[in-house]
Amino acid sequence: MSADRIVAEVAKNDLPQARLGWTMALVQTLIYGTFVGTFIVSPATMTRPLAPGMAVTVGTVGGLAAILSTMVLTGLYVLLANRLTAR
Amino acid sequence: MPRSILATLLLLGATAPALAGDSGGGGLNAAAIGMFVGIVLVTLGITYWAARRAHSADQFYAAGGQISGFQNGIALAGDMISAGALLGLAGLICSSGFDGLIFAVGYATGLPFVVFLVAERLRKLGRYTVADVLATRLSETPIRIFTAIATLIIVMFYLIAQMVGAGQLIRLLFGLDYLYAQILVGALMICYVMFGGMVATTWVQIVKAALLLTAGVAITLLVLARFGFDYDSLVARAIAVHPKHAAIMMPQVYSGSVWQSISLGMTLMLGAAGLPHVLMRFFTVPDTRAARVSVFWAVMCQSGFFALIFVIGFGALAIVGGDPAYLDPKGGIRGGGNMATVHLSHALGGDTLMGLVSAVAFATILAVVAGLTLTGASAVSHDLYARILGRGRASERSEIRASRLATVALGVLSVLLGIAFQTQNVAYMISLAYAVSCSSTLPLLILALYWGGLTTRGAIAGGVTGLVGAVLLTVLGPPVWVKVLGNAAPIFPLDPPTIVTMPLAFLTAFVVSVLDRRPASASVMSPAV
Repeated sequence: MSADRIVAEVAKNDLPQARLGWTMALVQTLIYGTFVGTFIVSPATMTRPLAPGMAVTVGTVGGLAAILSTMVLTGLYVLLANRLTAR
Repeated sequence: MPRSILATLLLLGATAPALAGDSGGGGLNAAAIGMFVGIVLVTLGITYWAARRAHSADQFYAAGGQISGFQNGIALAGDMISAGALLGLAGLICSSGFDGLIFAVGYATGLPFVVFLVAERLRKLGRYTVADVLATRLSETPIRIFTAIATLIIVMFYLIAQMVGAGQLIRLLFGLDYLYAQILVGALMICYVMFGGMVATTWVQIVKAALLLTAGVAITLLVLARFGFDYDSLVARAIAVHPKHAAIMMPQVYSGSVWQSISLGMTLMLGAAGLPHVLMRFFTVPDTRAARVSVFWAVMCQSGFFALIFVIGFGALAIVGGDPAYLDPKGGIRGGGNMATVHLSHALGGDTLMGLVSAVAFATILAVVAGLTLTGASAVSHDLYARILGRGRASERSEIRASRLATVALGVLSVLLGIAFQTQNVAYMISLAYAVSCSSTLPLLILALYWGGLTTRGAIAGGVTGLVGAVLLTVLGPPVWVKVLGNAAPIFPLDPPTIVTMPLAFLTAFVVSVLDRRPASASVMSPAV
């Protein structure tokens, strides 16, 4: 089998998975982009205390949430991709 | 000021020249020396064990594809958490607050991209190096030469920066002279890679990652315990201690132009996705499913660690930043920002914990330089020697010999350059490695994996444009033009230049491929080996 055919084969076989990959990448970009973008567009939102009298800011929680989202999204991706390839 | 932070932080020893003669670190401490010797013995033991297995090319480059998904995941997390992340982030939080968290978030979001888009296809198409993957559908000779050169550029800049940082750090931690530290690190990394290949490199990385996560969790729990497990009172104390108080909750890195902020954000997120020593990890697992499992564990460990930085960083500021015993007369961290985590561990757990953290930092340096050396050696021996010079007919024995020679050559070269650059500002080298990675290897890989229209000419044109653009704009930008050459203002304002060079590389590759009517000559060449 020629190299081109191998590539074509790979591409055809995991088309649904590629779609899943790009969707996840997009979601991750949106989450990270929101975190960075809010700091650029509206710093006051991010430096506001989470609740009156607290030292922890909205940005701190947002940053932690962005990090946790990488775990959730990766877990979800692995789960879905395993199902796709099992079929 | 903010422009320099990427470089400063990525490089663990960026504060170096200022530190000369100031042994403000831990100095000699029995626990640290004991664990330091322990690490050296354990890693040499691993190398001895691996050396008996690393006789084939497959073993040397890819550990025979026998690393399990879980093990590879831990090693991959180890690759992502450099000494800069362990020591530099907390130091940055001590000096300028929230900036350190911006970097933690940026780094954490990089690996998922590799997971979603690159890891599995890479494993499916490649065998030893990234060039293997590109050569499956592009004309082999030009694409291998280009990829090998890009790999060597990234590896060398990264390696020199690590070596210089390592020399300074080891002197601070263990009181060892810079010159001896260079030779020691160089000798150990040559030893791991030359005798143990990818097997030893992976296990050194696994040992380091396990130690790193243990130390990270221990410090986090001890910091939280100090504040009655109340995160808010920890942050409140950190804000009270820092001279700028509540202002530290606004990142300084975003005080520049919007383009600057976006370019930095892109580089943090995507820089790691194109680093060849990270990508090479996916060839060590048996199949695509294992590749997927490995990235799952890698993201768990890596993101978990970056989440701990939210406690460790503010903890360092709250505890160390408020204790004159750890500060120099000017109010800065004694020994420089990289010592913040080390001082924090001393404040929390005395000499024992400090010894552990120092040893972990040392292991981190060793593991990262070993991975880089192996990747550089593979580019030379597999891509350039066996596939190009030998036209794929070089014997396995001679290929392995070439890789060992390349390992020694790269190791000696990096020690010599580490010594030559001792007093130079080498922070730009990390900026450069990340910018080249984002602007050349990553675009080529994404296009090759997902766009059937990519031609060899398009790939080379795009890759060269990205590479030259990244180098040129870094030289004309703040990291070299201002900080190294001493000019007042940069010719190109952004550091890193990714926002310009990465789209440019994609666009060039696309336009040239479309104009290049001739189909890729892939069908007349043999599948990549």
